[in-house]
Amino acid sequence: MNNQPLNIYLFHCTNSLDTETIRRSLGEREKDHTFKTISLPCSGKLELIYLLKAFESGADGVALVTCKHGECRYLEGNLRAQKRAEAVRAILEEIGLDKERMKLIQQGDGGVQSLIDELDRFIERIRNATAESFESS
Amino acid sequence: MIVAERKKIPELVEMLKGHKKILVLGCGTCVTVCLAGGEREVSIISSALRIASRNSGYDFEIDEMTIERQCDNVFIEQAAEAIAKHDVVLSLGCGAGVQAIAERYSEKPVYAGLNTSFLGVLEERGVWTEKCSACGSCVLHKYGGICPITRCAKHMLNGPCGGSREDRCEVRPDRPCAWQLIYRRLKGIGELDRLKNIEAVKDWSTSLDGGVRMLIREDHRI
Amino acid sequence: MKHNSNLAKRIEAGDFVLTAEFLPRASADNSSAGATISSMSNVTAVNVSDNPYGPVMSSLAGSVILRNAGVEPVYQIITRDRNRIAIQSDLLGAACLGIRNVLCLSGHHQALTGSPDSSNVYDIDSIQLIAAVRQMRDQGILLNGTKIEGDFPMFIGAVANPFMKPMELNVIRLKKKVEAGAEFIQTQAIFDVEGFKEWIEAAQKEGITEKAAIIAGILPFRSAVEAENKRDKYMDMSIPDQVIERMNSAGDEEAQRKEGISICVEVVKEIKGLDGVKGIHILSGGRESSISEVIAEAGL
Repeated sequence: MNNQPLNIYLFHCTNSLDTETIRRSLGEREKDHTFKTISLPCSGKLELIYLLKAFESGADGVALVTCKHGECRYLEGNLRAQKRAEAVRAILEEIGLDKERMKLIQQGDGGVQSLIDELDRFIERIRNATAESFESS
Repeated sequence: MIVAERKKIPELVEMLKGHKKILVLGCGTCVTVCLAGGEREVSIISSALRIASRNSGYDFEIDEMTIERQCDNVFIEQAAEAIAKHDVVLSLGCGAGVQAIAERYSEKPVYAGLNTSFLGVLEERGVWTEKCSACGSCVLHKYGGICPITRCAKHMLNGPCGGSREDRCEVRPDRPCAWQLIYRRLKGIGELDRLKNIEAVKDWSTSLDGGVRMLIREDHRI
Repeated sequence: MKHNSNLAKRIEAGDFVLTAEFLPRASADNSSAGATISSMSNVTAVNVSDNPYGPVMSSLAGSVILRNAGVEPVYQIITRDRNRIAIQSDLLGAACLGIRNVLCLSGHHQALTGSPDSSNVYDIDSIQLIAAVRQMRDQGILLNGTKIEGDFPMFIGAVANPFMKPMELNVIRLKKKVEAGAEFIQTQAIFDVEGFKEWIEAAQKEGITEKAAIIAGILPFRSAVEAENKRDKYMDMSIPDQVIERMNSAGDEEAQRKEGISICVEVVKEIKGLDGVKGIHILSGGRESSISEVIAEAGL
């Protein structure tokens, strides 16, 4: 089993979530992995290049957290965010990287806890993928 | 404008392997507008290539630059210094831009990072469609401003083929039949009689079929 | 000399004519043509298609083979694969080899054939082709003005899709084909009799049926699957859902094949007596053996 610490980038919409809440909720996880949080005025503001740059500078996984469906302050920002995330996943596939390293997490009714649960599953997925690539290399 | 789309990363990696210092050179004109080869796309492709290079052990060193127009010597000159410092140029210009760069820097390999697709327009956000084939002898006045040479898959000049449907072309379900559009448009502007004339065979010598073309404006040659 | 084909003579004599379609194969011998020839009794002329679904033996060669066997061919030319130079050259050759009927079409786009990666030509369109053949015959000159030596006595045909909408556009186009020189019109396969009646009435109103002989197309499907595939892939085919339902509920393979023939026989009964219909064209879909069956069942 690969227990290497991972570099996780968290881009998030600042209207629905503040960095402090995320940090607090990450709790113990910060001991195992490195988290970099980047707050955005709107998730739709995100350009592809920011996401790619995260990978270029060593991210093992990038999560993009958007506000709830239908609650974007700028009406369609979270819809755009989804399209951007899909475009990055396509580029990762072209490059030969696991596209699951890019994940869009849309907040729901479950509050920050369900966001953290989803993040845990994301980390687990990347850990397994990295372990596989270690074994095969 | 000229519409293009980027080549896929594996094709670019295959093209560039064996080179180390790579200049990804964007163009600020048509391909910027169609989101294929402007400053933003230069950064995206460069970043993707860096990740791909690290992954596959090619060790590319990639720099980025975008000039206003790759098909214009005035702007090409601005890239001279940067090009001199690199082993190869990956041009994100259209096919004309790539060739203009290659002609100016004859000692340097210049590769195309885009597939130049067509002359077209932005139909709606994120959708471009082809409108002109640059045949060199425009017939649009006869067809209500809709080009049957470009927009009819069979270049029919005398009406639709038997595969025409009111809502689609025989060849592609997602494209309208140009002849249905021509019919509606001519009817709408009261010029349907134009369709009743038999259009004689076209002289294609002004098109690419007549050989590679050039344009000379003597009044501008001083 | 205007034209001297048997098909032309029969039409001018007011006979109800019968034509059928032969699809050459991707073969380097003439065995498929042989089978066709033997199943074509009562047929005035046989169309030889020009690579409708991808490369096969050329329609010119196929036409010559039929002619040599005593069957009168209708040499089909599409504008997809050959430019005006090649088309006129082939036409001269055809005349020289004794071919007397030519059918002018644009042809399926290559995207709908087995060679979708091919380029295309489309130098001229089907109406321009009709006009070119007439000029060659009536004025004895090629498109570039070169004088033709000898006679070029071609009987000129064109195709029409009765179901292409809107009707106004359909008729404008049909009229242009006749004005350009088409003397007979073979239609796409008819399954929708009412739609066909509407079209021929519109054609009649424009005086088209007096100037050109309309030869109504029929096509016996072998199976419901074939009918569905044709409907979905080829926009020039108009196949109502009822036809596919009938084929589907007919039963096993053989029953479906028979049903395909029955459908044709019914269509023939309905359209044979219509004003302006001068003959029947049996499209074979490459199964020439079914032609004789249709002829017998329909009493043609």
